[in-house]
Amino acid sequence: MTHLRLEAIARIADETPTAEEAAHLESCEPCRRELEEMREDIHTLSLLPDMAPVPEAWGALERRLADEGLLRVKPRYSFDNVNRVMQVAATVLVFAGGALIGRISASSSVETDPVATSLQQATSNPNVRLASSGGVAAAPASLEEAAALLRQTEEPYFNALTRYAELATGSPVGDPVARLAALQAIVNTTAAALSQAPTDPVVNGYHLTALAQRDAALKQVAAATGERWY
Amino acid sequence: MNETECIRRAQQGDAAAIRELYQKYGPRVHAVVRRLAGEDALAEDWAQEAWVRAFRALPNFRGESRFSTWLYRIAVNSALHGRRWRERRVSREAPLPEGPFEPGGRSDPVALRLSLQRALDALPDGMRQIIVLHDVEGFTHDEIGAQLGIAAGTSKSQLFKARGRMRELLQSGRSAHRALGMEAT
Repeated sequence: MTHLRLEAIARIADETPTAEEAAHLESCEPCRRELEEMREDIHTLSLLPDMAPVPEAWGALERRLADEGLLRVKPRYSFDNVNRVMQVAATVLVFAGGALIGRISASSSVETDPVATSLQQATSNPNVRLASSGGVAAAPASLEEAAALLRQTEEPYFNALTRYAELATGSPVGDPVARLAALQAIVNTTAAALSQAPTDPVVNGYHLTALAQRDAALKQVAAATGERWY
Repeated sequence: MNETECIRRAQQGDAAAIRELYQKYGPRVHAVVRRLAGEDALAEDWAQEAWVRAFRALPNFRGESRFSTWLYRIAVNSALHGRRWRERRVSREAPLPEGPFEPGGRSDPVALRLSLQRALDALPDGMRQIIVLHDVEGFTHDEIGAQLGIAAGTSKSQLFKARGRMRELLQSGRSAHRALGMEAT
């Protein structure tokens, strides 16, 4: 017996056989089995599973997409972040400038000005020598020492800054509400900086100091208006 | 993130969204490209090419078809383009499969899938392409004809030849198996 060609069986798997082919299939068990197996193969082919790419494939694709400018990687420092950093930098600059000016103005009345005296006391610490006094700041040996140095220098700085404002304006610091608003702006800035560098001792120091000054100003405003500050 | 949002963000080049699409459809794209390629090394290149083409074209995707359908068509076209590129440079002979087919017999569905995959890999490129497109991916002969630039009838006749050749490969493997006394069923 001549069997059906495989190509014909492949066609019959999809289409109706001719009468002659149907008659042959009726009488030929091997051809029927071949047709069944071919249909099973076709069905199995439609169920073949997906195939995971090799793990390195993504890295190679990512580089190529980036090279072609198709991938927009979120920058580590966005424009907003840069703005915050610039705000902090500006704040630090103002602080440093204020410290220098406060130091210069305090030096002219160091014997009578209690603020200047406190600054002098702070800077008389051998570990705390401001650049404006002609010395070179000793490098703290540890994080704790650096934080302590920061705390020691902050208070006289703020006091000096306040004193400078008083001398410059000829009266105690002007509008306390405006000052409170300004201090709140600094708190907002340092808080933003803190979110970027939560463990940075310098940023923490500025933030805590700004908070303390803001709260003091708040108390001052409350006392002036007879309201409770809390 | 739902798929519409993911696609919208990927259209803007958002890295996370692009990666999410890759993770979701990567295995599917790799599978179709791998089967058309017939070998792993080629498949990796073609799959990467498919994704790059897809992300280049993504800004023009308007959601008029399913994203998966759109993506698979790009993958198939990319692989077919890769195959034509290779044909101009290499005359590939269909290598005889190494080792017996169906080590576990037809009653084992896993063994049968492996045998079919190996038989696909052993087919000449043209035959493999037709079987992958029709029997694996479910394209119609009209669609295949349009993609390959041939008549639907030509696609059909090539499919029947390819199926016949694949059966021969499976049978020769089974015969070799029997000759070695390794038939499991």
